[in-house]
Amino acid sequence: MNAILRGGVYGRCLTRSLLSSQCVPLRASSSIPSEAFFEKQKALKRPLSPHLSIYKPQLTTVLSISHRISGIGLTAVVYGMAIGALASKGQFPECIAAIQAAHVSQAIIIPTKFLTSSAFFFHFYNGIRHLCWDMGLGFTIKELYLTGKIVVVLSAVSAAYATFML
Amino acid sequence: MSLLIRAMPRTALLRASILKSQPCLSALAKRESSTGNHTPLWTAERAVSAALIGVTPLALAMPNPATNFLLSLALTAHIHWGMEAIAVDYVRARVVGSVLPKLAMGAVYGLSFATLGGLMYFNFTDVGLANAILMFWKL
Ligand code: HEM
Ligand code: HEM
Repeated sequence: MNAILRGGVYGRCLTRSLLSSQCVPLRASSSIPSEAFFEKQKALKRPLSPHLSIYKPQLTTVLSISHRISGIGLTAVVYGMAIGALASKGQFPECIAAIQAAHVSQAIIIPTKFLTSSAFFFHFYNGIRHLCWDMGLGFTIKELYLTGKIVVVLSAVSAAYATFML
Repeated sequence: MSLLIRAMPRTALLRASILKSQPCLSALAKRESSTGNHTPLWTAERAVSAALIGVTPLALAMPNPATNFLLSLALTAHIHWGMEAIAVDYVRARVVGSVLPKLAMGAVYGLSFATLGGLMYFNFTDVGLANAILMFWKL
C-alpha cells in the first residue's frame, strides 16, 4: 500500500512538473547557468558524477559507453583506410598480397577479425536499439535490460559467425 | 527541476524524445549553440543512422560503384556527427579552456573531409570500400 501510494504520488508529481507549471519556458540567456554557478562548482572540487571507480557497472551503463567506444574504434578503422588511400601510392590488392606474403599468423588474424566484427555488430544492433529509443520505444527498466541482453547475444553470435564461418 | 536541468551537460539530454517538445529544455539544446531550431539536424542524424542499417549490408552483398558511393557518403556523415558529439561532450571550454575545443572541432571537420575525399578516391581509383572489406575478410 505504502509503496503503491508513494509510487503513485511521485509518479504524478514528476509528470506534472515535467509537463506544466514548473517547466517555465526559459529564454536561452536565462537558461544557461551563470559564471558564478560554475565558479562555485569548481571551488567545491566535486568528484566526477557518477564517481566512476565506485559506481556499480550495470548492463545499461556498460552498453552505453560501449556504443561510444565501438563507434570510436570503427571510426579509427575508416579514418585509417581513407587516409591510407590518399597517402599510399599502391593499389589495395597489392596491400592484401603483401599481408599474405608476410604469412601473418592466424593467432593474430582471428582475434583481429573477432574484435572488429564484435565492435561492428554490437554498434549495429545497439544502434537499432538507440533508434527505437529515439522513437520513444523501450524505456521501461525491464525492456532496457531485455533489449540489452538481446543485443549482447546477437553481437556475440554474429561476430563468431563472421570470424569463423566467413 | 530547474537545478537538475542546469546541472546537466548542455549538449544532449534532450535527445530523448519524451523531452523533445519541451520548450524549456530545447533552449539548452544541442551543440554549443543556444539559438536556432535543431530539430531538422537531429532528424537528419537519425535518418542517416537508419539508412546505414540498410546500406551497409547492401554494399557488402552487392559491392558496386553505386553502393560504394552510398556507403561512403552515409558513413562519413554518420562518423562526422558522431565524432562531433564526442568532441562537444568531452572537450568542453569550461574544463579545458577556449582553444582546445576549437582545435578538436577543427580536427573533426578536417578528418571528415579527408575521409570523404579518401573514400571517394578509393572508390573511383581502386577496388572500392565494400570490396576492400570483403578482401580483407578473406585473409
Ligand atoms: C557509469 C555510469 C554511466 C555511464 C558509463 C554513462 C555513459 C553515457 C554515455 C556514453 C553517454 C553518451 C550519450 C549517448 O549515447 O547518447 C551518456 C549520456 C548521458 N548521461 Fe550517462 N552514463 C552514466 C551514468 C549517468 C547517470 C547516473 C546519469 C544521470 C543521473 C547520466 C545522465 C546522462 C545524460 C543526461 C546524458 C545525455 C543523454 C543523451 O545524450 O541523450 N548518466 N552517458
Ligand atoms: C551500420 C549501422 C550503424 C547504425 C545503425 C548506427 C547507429 C548509430 C546511432 C543511432 C548513433 C547515435 C547514438 C546516440 O544517440 O548518441 C551512433 C553513434 C555513433 N556511430 Fe554509429 N551506427 C552504425 C554504424 C557505424 C559505423 C560503421 C561507425 C564507424 C565507422 C559508426 C560510428 C559512430 C560514432 C563515432 C558514433 C558516436 C557515438 C556517440 O555519440 O556515443 N557507426 N551510431
